[in-house]
Amino acid sequence: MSPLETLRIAFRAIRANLLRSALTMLGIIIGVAAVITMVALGTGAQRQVAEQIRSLGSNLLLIQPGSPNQGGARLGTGARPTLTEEDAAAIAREVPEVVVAVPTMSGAGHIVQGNLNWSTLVGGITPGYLTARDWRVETGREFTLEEVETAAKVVLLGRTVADILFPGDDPLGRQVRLANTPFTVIGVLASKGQVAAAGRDQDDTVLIPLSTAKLRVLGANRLSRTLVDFLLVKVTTDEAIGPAQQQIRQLLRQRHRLAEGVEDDFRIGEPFAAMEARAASTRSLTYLLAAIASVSLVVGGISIMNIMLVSVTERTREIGLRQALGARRRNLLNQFLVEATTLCVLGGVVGVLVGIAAAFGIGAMAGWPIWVSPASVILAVVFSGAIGVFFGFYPAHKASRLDPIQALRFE
Amino acid sequence: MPPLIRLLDIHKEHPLGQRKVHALRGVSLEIREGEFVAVMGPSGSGKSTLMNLLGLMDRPSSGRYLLAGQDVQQLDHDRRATLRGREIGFIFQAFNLLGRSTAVENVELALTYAGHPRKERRRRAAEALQRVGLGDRQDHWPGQLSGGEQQRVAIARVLATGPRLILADEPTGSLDSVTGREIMGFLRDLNAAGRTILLVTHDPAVARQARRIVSMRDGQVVGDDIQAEPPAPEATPAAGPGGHSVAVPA
Repeated sequence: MSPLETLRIAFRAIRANLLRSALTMLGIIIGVAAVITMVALGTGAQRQVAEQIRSLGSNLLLIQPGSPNQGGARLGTGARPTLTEEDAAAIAREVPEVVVAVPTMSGAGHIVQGNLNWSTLVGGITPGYLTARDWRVETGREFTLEEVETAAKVVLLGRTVADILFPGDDPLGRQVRLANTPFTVIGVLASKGQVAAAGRDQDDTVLIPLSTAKLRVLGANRLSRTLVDFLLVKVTTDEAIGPAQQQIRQLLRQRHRLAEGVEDDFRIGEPFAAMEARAASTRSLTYLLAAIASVSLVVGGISIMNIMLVSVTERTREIGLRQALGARRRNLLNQFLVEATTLCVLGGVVGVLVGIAAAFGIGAMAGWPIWVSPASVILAVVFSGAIGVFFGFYPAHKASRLDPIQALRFE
Repeated sequence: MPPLIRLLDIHKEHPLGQRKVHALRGVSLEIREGEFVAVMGPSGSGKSTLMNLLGLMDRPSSGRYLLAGQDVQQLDHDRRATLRGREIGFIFQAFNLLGRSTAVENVELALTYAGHPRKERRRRAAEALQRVGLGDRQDHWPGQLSGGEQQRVAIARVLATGPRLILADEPTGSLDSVTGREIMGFLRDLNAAGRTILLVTHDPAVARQARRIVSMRDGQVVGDDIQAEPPAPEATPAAGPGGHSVAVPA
């Protein structure tokens, strides 16, 4: 008997008792729908966090000057600048896990173009900054090394600033005034969007070479020519963050000649550690919810087994007749196994559809991001098939073992 | 050529609660190919048990059963099922059609288990229904057919596989006398075409249509008579209303 034949018989049996089949499938439908919904919501949240982390730049360390203790009164972080461009160069040189170490200055700046003007965040950077932040130049180009060395008056505009100063216009090659100095726009940065955790628009910024910033925009009242506001360090992998942090601390203590027992005059932070933790906890929560939901799948499987047992009993005479007509054990086993599996797979498919609908419904109502991964859909259907085989086996085996005489005489 | 059926000192015990029912007590019987045998006897005489053993649906407690010279005792469950599907046809008192399958699908069933391809099955099943006069009812459900028609579907089911041995257990028991005679007509035609038929019945009038009558009582064969005269002519289906004759290819 061909598999197709067996499948046809199974569909006929399912159709013959449509209401009962539907009710039986309900357990699987609810189970699969619950798993799909949970995973879709969880994965959506996870991807959102991952996207935010990615937009801020992953595997980043932020090194800021420490908070000096002056006669018992602690001043705020960065109150006394201690970090230099040379520190950055030394970190890049001596810590193998470091991809780039970027000395950075930042401050408020007022930028003017024609009769338009805007206050924004000015970053003085070296070319490694864009690498560290995983940031792309959308149109135009990055700073060249020469521009950084010669303190050229060139500027990269964030998307928001570009839109405000050059509405509907191409800013490339145009002039803007920053701190009363004319700058040439050499590029516009790709949009990174709003970041909930950072609480601000990342595209509302302009970047200029560090040297230029010191010389003309942010450096006017600074103590030293080599001091910078903070260092941005990108390390190779997530796992390298810990060791790199240790080595950087050693290196900076050495460079700043801090004696044993003296407090660090800098702070190393992982700006996105909290977000990464959130991503991880979202992930475990997703797994937990999916695990809870899959309990209902098992319950669904038990109801399949229950109904199949009833069905085998009801169809005892049919089984006896099939045996009289030459059905072998395998034929009967397959018949009932395929029936149970078909029920479950149908339930699984309906469950996936219900689950996706529910996930998008909840997502639309609550404003949550939804992500239905193809893998979860395939897994759900395959898993419900496996439940059918597992819970269908006992009833099917029972059917195949019936004594022909008893079965045929069964009332 | 060996007899189609040879039973040697068959005993069969059924457990019934704590006791054992001795359903067959030393039955020995030979039936040659092409015979038409009626098995008669009161309830509990063991005739149904005998039929089940002959149909390979059950195994004797002791004794030997040779079917076409082959000792079928030692065959496993699936081999017996295969042999049953190929060589033995059953006709039941309760028709035993699958209610959720159409007439033609019911006829196809045994062919399905014998592994014939779908097209050939459908063709042979349709042919068989044609021969019992139900060519136009192929797609009817058993529930839409009368008792006589259902039994004709059951006969078509036997025709389709062309078994050597046909076991009919009270085939007319649920039918009125006219329809019953019609069914008996089909059986006689099958026999005339060379099929060996074993018929269990209570009805002496039905039994008289067989050539040989085996009587049973208390699990033993108590009589075995060959009837000299041919079956009563007024019972032929050609004479009965709505009768159809069965043409079985040799």
